[in-house]
Amino acid sequence: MEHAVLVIHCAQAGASALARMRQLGYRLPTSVRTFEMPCTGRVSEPILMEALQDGADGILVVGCRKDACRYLDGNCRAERRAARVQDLLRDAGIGRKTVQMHFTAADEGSALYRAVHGFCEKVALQGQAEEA
Amino acid sequence: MIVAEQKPIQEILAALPEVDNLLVAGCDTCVTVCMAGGDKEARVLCAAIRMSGKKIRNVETVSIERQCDREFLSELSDKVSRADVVLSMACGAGVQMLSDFFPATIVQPALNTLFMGSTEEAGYWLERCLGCGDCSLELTAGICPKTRCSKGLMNGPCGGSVGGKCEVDPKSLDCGWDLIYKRLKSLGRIERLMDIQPPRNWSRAHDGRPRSVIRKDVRL
Amino acid sequence: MNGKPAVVLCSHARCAPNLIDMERLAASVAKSEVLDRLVVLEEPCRAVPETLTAIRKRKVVFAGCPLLKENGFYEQTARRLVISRADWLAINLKADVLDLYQETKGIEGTVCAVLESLGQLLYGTQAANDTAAVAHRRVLVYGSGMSGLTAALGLASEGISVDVMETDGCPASPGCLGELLQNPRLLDDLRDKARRDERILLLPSGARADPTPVEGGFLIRSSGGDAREYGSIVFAPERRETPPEESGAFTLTQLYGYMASGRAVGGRVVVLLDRDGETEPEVFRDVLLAAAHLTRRMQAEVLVLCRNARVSLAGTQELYDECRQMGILFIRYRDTVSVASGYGDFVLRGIDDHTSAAFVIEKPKILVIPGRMGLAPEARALAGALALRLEGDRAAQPDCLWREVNATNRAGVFAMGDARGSRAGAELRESSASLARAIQERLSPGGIRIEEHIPVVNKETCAYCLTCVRVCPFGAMEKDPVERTAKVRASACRACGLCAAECPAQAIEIRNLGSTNLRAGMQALVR
Repeated sequence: MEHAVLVIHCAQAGASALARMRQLGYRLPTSVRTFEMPCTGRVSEPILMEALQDGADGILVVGCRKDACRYLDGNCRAERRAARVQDLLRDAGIGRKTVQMHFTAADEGSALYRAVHGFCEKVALQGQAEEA
Repeated sequence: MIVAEQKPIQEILAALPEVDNLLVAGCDTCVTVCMAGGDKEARVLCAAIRMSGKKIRNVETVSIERQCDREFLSELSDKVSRADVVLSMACGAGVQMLSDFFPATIVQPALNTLFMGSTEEAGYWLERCLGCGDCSLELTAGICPKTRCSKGLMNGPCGGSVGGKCEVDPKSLDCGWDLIYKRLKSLGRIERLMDIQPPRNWSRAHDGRPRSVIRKDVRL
Repeated sequence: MNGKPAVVLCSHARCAPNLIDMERLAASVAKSEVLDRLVVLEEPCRAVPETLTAIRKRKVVFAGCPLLKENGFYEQTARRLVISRADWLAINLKADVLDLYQETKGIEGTVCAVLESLGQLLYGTQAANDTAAVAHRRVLVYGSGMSGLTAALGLASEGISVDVMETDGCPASPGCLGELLQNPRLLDDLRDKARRDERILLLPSGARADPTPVEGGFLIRSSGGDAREYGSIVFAPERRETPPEESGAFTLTQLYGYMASGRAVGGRVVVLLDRDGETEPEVFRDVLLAAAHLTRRMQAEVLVLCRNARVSLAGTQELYDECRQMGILFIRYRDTVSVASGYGDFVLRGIDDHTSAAFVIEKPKILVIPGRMGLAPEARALAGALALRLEGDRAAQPDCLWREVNATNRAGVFAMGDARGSRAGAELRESSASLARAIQERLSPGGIRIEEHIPVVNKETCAYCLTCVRVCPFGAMEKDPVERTAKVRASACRACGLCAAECPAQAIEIRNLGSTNLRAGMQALVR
């Protein structure tokens, strides 16, 4: 069974890296969807939890590198919020869902592909473990 | 304002019975400002309960202005009548009022209410007031010795005050009396420290029965 | 102008030179089909002029340490160099280079690849795209009065190419009288500055505007017949007065002309406020300023005649009292004043409304403040064509059109100056700065536009907790003590959405990215 993965990325390095990735010829599986925000700092806990509730099995939040956020600290906030949601999921025993933060630079097309691919595998493994 | 903290999710889930209809009720006043029980937190908790595998058929969420006023609680009548259990995200006062207003419904708390305090910075709330009922902040330059001094001394500091820090936690706990001394000095009122303060009237603090304030002119 | 972008590599002594052989990198860039040349700035704050002349007026990609970005270095350099199209992208050369080193051979080739991809992302790969890219950046400012010229100069200083269009060579309208009195040459100075600026093109007066929306902008046909494409349009027409018929009578606009040319208007001057209904405070303020100026500087003896018009003294009480103290007479007349002219001299007769006595004023010069000052018909037509709703003469979408949720907003259409309700020089300069920022954001790589993503505070649910004020990295949120809610200062807002995420009461929505849209968007994705 395919697991639905949502990639929420920022409009700066996130969007550029995604574009670079596509330019290099990488294609993401159809179970992966992307959603753009001005900055990952916009991503709040209710957004993450409700997306998971609505059907996403995993959410990868892709933002600029630590010192390169155009809005100064949006990416750091996103990182902390993603960590809080991940802790909440673990503590509530919701093992089949997962949230992770990924930092990218504008040109890291192949690194982003590897990160998304790796994340999809992780989501699949977790899903299987829960079903077992 | 009242500062509270959400209970750990494991505790909330463990206490929830497996019923058909659960209502998660948020509160838009104090607990919103301290980011514990507002609409945002209610939505997150709601999603967590839905995904948790607890056999609760319907989980609904609603948020009202305050749960400590009947006029706002009455807005919940419809939703509460359909619910088997209400998980209240208000402070202790709100949970109790909600329970009083809907006495036939099971009401459970989602928060641990902690203190009366202030927002020091975004994301950092500090206890300021105990509600002792006998305020003497004019003697101590606006710094409360009951909350800020670990021993609650009225004639401090004690010998455990070193480098401006309290011996209870010398790394991060300021000595309240050190703060009081410094501020009295900058206000030019240092001679107040020469007066020995008698023990406070603790009978006005919480001491057995629930306290109340009654204004006869209003309750005609 | 060569289509390929130049790359300015800004390196500290600490970073790039330790990892990269600059000569080999330069050679790689020279061989590149995407990039034009490499310029290396080793001392970021003291760029060598000769080296930089080479990239003047080119498209430029800045690459280098994010610290430089934070210090505003790229923007300062771009401005100093009059770079006509510059974009910066901060890449952390250390981390990225080391990452990519594993994949490709040789750091220099890697960095070049990185820079090429930046160039491609920003400019496209072909020189043919150049015209499209440049055209898209071009902005049309409609109106060459004070607002229009200030807007044009503000945009040009941010590296945006501007065409300024005027329909009939009109000078300024009333409203900036205060500043013109300080400096009668103000408008001419602005016009000279605009003429000298390479990025500003003053279209001949008589130009027509006939906008056709095209993808990403507008196609506008000028009176000469050729059409040019613009990414954004700034609507900045001035209100105009119709020149009076009687010779010897003059308008405020003409008064400015006299002041600029040093011509004195002495003797008796009647300021005739001939309006039905309410006179706006700004107009009355101009009347008072003109009267005071004429009295003080031009030794005129001034009488101000107002018809039954109601005049609000809001904000002008002090000035009014000053005028009275200077000896300026204010007469409210009943019904009409008869203006008889013979042999070039006027005689005014009327009835004083207070005393009911008749008055006669002989041989005055007359400064006419006309009943209706409005937009020229061509300006109105343009506004209609752009779906810009006008209330009277003001854009009904307040401020710069991106600040309020409004179903009729068309992206890329902005209002300045009078059309926006502000005319003072300092206000105009601030508006033009935020205008420039908004226009640049329209073209940012990610597709997020400030004007489409400005935060909107729900005044009912806002808890006035001020979290957003504390959290905003740009100080763009402030408290509104009247409404007791938070308020957006749109000129500083960068549309990042942090406020919406942090708001404990979830009272902030990002326009067009509001929570319903977000939720629906995500649901559509994951279901």
